[in-house]
Amino acid sequence: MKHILLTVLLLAVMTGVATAQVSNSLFGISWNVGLPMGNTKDFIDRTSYSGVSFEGRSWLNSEFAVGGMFGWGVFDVVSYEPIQIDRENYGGTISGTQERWMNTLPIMVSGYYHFGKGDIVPYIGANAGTYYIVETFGIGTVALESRNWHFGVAPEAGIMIGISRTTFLLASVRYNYAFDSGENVAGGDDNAQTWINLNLGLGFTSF
Amino acid sequence: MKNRFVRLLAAAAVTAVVAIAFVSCYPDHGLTTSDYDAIMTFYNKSTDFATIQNVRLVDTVIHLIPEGSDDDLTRAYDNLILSTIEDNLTAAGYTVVRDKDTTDVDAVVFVSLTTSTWYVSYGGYYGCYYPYYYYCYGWYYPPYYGGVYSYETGTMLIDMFDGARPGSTDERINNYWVAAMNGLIGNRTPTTTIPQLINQAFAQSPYL
Repeated sequence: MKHILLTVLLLAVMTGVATAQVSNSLFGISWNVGLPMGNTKDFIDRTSYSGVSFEGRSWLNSEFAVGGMFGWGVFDVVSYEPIQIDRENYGGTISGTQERWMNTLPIMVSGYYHFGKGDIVPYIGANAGTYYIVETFGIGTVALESRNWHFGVAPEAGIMIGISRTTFLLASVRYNYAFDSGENVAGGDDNAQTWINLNLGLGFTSF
Repeated sequence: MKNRFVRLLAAAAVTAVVAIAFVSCYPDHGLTTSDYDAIMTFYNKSTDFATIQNVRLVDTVIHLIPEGSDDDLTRAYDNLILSTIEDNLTAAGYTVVRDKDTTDVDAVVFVSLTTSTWYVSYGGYYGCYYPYYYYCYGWYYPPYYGGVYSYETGTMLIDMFDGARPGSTDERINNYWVAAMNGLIGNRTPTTTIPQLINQAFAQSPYL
């Protein structure tokens, strides 16, 4: 909860400072495809097509902008692979249909550098803030759930393509890293999560 | 224009907070009743199963019923349960006896059954484990707008333990292997489901 309050506060301050200085700003909405990596892939090895993110950015000058983003995405899979248990004194197997879900909600402040002006503007960005992640595991009639706030960072590279005077097509790649913050749904110590988002959306400017 | 932008961002932020507070999405996987079966098997690593030859299969299926409650579990499938277990033990290379007077055995296997009733209501998930109906009384009086339903699960346990009789009641008996099978009851064909679950328990225990 500390993470979210700090991030929302920073987001509000940075957006307020930026919009007070210049009027050039952008509001964007994007569809996110998620490619799991690391622990996330170990838990759910399946591409997610269910994700959306919202972003706002305000230009400090012709190249730099600051703002914020938040989004939501869900990874899910059905697995039939038996779970092997290997403890010091006993071993075992659990079989049955497993349902696995991971809901992710990033809330971040952002900084961007834009390469030039015009109808096609590449950019790089850095996002930092918090992820709220809910891992859910169901087998048989039992479901386990783990809810955690994570500090996270998300470097990003993208391109803005002008399709009208105030509307841009947004395409970007964002690498998400949510740092370890507690136990995962299986009770393991490392719950760091990693995934890549491929984002496609529209941006509306106030130019 | 700037004010519109700020309003838009503020609305989005509020949406995000509401989403975080209340929403987690669980895409439906279209599972059927049999998908809710789970089979768990555990074995004691200090057991040398190769030294076990003779196994006594207790020929009564034990019904785990809370004290003071009626046993309403059917015994119609007891023979099917026992014969399926016996077939699997024999296939694994054990000599199976059912005679209770045969005491010179390496291991004893017994089966037990229990059921649980679960209640689901708005925004919550309340488990009313069978022996603890007392704590579920409130759910017998659901709000008039409804929203409460129940389902029943059944659990079968197969336990294999040391055949040597303990010298006293304080002596611990070595447990060799246990299989627990849990699933939804109702809308099933027991004559098909029971052998499937037992066969899977043995199939995933190749060390037996």
